[in-house]
Amino acid sequence: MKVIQPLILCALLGMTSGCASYTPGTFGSDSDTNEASDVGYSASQVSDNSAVQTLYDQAMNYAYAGDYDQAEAALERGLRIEPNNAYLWFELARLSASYGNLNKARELASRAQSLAGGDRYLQGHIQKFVNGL
Amino acid sequence: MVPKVQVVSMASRKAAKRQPLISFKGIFVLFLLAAAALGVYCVHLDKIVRSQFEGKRFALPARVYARPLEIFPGKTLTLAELRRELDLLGFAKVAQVRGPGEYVSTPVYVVFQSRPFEFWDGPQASQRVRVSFRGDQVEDVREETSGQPLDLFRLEPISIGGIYTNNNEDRQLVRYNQVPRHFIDALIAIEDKRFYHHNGIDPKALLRAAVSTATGRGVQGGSTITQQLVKNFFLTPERTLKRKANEMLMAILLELHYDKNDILETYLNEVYFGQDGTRGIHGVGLASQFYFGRSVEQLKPHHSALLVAMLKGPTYYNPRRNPERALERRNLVLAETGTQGYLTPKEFEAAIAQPLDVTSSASAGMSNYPAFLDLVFRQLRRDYQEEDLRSEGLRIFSTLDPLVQQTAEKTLADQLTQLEKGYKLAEGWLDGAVVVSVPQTGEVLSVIGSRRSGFEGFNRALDARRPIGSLFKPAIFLTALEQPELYTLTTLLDDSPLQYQERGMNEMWEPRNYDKQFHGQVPLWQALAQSYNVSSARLGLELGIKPVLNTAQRLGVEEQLKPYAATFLGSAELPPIQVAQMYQTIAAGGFRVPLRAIREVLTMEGRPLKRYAIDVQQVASTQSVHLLTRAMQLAVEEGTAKSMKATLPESLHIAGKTGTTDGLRDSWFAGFSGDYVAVVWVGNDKNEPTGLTGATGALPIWSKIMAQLHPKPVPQIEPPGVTYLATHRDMGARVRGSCAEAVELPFMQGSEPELEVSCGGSYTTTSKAKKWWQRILR
Repeated sequence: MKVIQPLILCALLGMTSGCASYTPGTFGSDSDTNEASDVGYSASQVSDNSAVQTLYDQAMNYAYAGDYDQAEAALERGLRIEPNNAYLWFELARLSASYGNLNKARELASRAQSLAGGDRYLQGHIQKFVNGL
Repeated sequence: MVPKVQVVSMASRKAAKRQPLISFKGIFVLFLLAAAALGVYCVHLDKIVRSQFEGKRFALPARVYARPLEIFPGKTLTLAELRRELDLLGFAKVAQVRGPGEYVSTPVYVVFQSRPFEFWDGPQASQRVRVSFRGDQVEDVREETSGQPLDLFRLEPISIGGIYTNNNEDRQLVRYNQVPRHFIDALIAIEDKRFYHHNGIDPKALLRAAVSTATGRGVQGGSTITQQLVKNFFLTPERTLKRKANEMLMAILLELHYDKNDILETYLNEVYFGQDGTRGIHGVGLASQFYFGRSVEQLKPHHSALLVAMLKGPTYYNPRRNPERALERRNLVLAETGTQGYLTPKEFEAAIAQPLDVTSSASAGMSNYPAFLDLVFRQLRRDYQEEDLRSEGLRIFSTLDPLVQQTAEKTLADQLTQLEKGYKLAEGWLDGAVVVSVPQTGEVLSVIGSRRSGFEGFNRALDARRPIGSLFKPAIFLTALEQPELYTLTTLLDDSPLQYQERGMNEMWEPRNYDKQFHGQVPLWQALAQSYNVSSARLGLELGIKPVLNTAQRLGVEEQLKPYAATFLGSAELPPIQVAQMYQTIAAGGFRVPLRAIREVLTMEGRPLKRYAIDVQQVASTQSVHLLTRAMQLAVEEGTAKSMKATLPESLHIAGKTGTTDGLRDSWFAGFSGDYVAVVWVGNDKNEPTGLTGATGALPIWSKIMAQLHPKPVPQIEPPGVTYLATHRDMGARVRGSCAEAVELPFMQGSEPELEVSCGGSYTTTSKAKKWWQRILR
């Protein structure tokens, strides 16, 4: 598995873009909602498991490149390893919104909320995202 | 004197002249007519030959793969399990890894070289990987040559079968250049020496065969490879002269249209190498897998010789059933191949020294999972035409987990035998079904339709509609818990005798509890944990049949359920897969995730066609499902499922439900851990009583399967808006102080019981005055 290239790419992106996240497509004209979706998580925030981190980074790279199908597939691979990871479910929700499936985004966001437990940081972001749909 | 010759009259001379004309012209005309007829006939045969040949060439059944094994540090996986996966993949265990498809194993690590594989998301090159283990976990994964650590490695998926053609023939298509030269050499040497030189038929061979048959030296084949291929075009195995003549003509026609290598390639993919149950082994690709656990490229000369040897009679020369015969003929083939100059003396010596080298059928590389493939096929038929599935060579990536499947198959078979012995039932009296899936993603890991799982037959998991009995109860209780202002886990239900007159029925409905007792006032959670029929039925009637059926539908029951009270106690008949769907939704916290058996579909060339993404829909609140789950956990902790504790530790917090039907005809258990949902059904196909309850029949099977899967505990996440309180187990009230009568239960905010009792059960002063009138009204 060629993990080096995506990692380097990610590191570079991380350095140059700070907290920027992909926001291709708009799903709300409200600038507040764009703010919520601007939050990007680092792989280490998402999981302690290095395999999940790798898959998350891969997914984000695909998403930046506009390849939503591949991004989703990578996130789903991550979910097979950590099915209760709320960050992965939330990311799936954001992807769905990006390609215009708002119903799916809403449901996935609910799932993320049900798994986020007491993580107020994450819960807050998910709520903002849902409000903006 | 007048010459005698003048006596010959004109007429006779004319007649004499006419005779030669009739004979030449007539024969010539006849000949032309015959040739014309033959020509027309040939055109007709030609059409058949072409369409059959191209049909054979391009009738590629869809190939189905299991889930790929993903390996990463920290994954729960034992060394033995990795080896099993590699064996199923047909990897050869060697002393030193030198190429793809080989592995080395020590007690603590495995080194293997993967084969290149085209995944849905792109190709993966061959890699040499070392996986180290500590206990039942992967400790380390790294690239062997560079020492580079790997975060994640995805092994190629096992091929688990195909969507067969109509005559149950399976194919693993090979291209001409994939087949080793020594196989083709042996084939030519034995079956058709002059293959590259004749034009479809070999007169020398025919003559030799005719002579041999005529002189009684035995019937010898004189058919060329081309003729043998043509023989496959006919469905009926006639051996008449007419058929033989047709075959010869068609062979010639075939060679006119197609070149030798094309014909050989199709032959290589068609030729019959024996049976595997109901599945015919056709083609050298499949045969290599089936007999040697290798792909065709990995065959060695002694393997090729054995396969060619089997062509004469795959059953007679079956290497597993008749090894001495097979070995003898193999060596004969090697000798003949050598004599004809295809093998050097050194190669011959090396090959003849080899044993048969066939795998035992257990690790044959391509096990049969007909029940699971059935599910794959049904799901595919929603999106694809049956024709496409049988002929386009689609590559289907499924969710099957072969390790889970094999564990479940074996456990079911063993346990059913044990149950029959223990309960003095006739051998074969019982049969069963199992479905295992992943709660959060809905991926189906295993489907078992019968105790004889390798064989096609009635798929009980998908098609056996049996009354689900108490497995229906969660639908009633969830409906109640969704109304927290009226019902909580401690709400007292009435378990006293019940009589109900169903409209249109003559008899009164009088449900009974399994223990034939009535239990008075029981807290809601106990009614579910102990599976009391009477109080559950009464609760259902209070709620109304329509709302309860609506809940069942939301949970994922697709069947139209009858709106009668009897449905409350599980008169509804459902196949195990629908029960699995129902419990899937509960396990996923109220999010219905449709069960699916397919992840992705690729074309034969590897182009992505379709991906089946995760799809969730919230159908019940997380809070109400949390409460329901707690009651189902109590069923395992102290209720009808408590015998599970002998097999699975309490720390797993398994949630489940036993189900038993009238006359003890159906034994069910449905439940989940943190990472598996499983349903087991046991019963008799003719609906005869078995003497088993859910707890004595299905539950032990369920537990034993689960115990081998390294299950994770059900996560104890308290959803927002839910608080836990200590309550008195029998009184439906809070309890002050810690005591044996206390049970911690979740309550939705605002619905907590206001009443408080002491451990002894007497009301405390704070609550006495306030709510006595509430108690009376219940």
